[in-house]
Amino acid sequence: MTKIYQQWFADMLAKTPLWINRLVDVSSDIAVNIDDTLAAKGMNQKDLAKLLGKKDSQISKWLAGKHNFTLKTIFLIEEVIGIKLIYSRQEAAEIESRHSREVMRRMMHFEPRNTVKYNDERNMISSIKIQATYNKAALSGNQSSAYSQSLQS
Amino acid sequence: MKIRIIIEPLIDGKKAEVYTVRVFGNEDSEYKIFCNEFSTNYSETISKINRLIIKMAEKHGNRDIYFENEGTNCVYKFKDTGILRLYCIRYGSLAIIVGGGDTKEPWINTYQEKESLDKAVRMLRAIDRYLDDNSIIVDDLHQIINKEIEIDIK
Repeated sequence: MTKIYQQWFADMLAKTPLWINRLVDVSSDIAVNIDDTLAAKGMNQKDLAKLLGKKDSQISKWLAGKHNFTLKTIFLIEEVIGIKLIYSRQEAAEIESRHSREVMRRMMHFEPRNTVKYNDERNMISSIKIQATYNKAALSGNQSSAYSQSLQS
Repeated sequence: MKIRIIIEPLIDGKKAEVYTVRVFGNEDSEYKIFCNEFSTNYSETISKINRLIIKMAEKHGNRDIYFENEGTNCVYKFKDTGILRLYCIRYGSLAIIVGGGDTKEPWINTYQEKESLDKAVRMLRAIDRYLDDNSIIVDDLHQIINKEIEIDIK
């Protein structure tokens, strides 16, 4: 939890327009991602400048944490360093959906060990049926009906 | 010239701690004076700096990419602040002591040419010398926080 000790600073932060907060939050995240990616690839800002045909000072300004990137600049950087820096809302939703399907797929693969009680054969069979029904419906994207279907089994 | 100062905590975050410098006898820290002086004509820049300071403390630590060395070993300036210059001392990515600053107009080539900039840099250099002379490392900063110390602004 961040603690602010001086009230004048907290008051100033509270008066900051939301768009400035968003600009700095996203810009600094992008800057850190670029910096970390360059380091991971054994590159530096000079190398990035060369790849983009820009001056070193321009790259330095971009990574200052407050820069107002254009989409074009972001996409050019993405192209040369090979990572995605920003996602649209739709893209983020698609990724989340793919991730959820992947999680369910893995659950289905491991589920007999996780969900079945071996002390009663009848329970064992019905437990497998319930989980399989849930998984199948969830994978098709219909999680609310998946739960009710599993209860009816 | 010897002056007495107090280093006071500003932010204690997950990734970094931020401190300010107040000259003994002044009501406000050098950073508060800087913000008050420029928040009218440079409100967007001041707001961005403040937000970035919070982000450093909370999430990123004070990373090299946000600063530029100001011609000395220990004093840094925040990057991309237009004609404003705000100086600080950094201790790795964990701690930063924010000082003051002023405008650096295009016709001023180096900070030494403007008294207010030169004074801000010399004050921070003096603080760094004090910490060095007294073998105070970043983990020991709490020993001098909120305490009056005397520094020599050479």
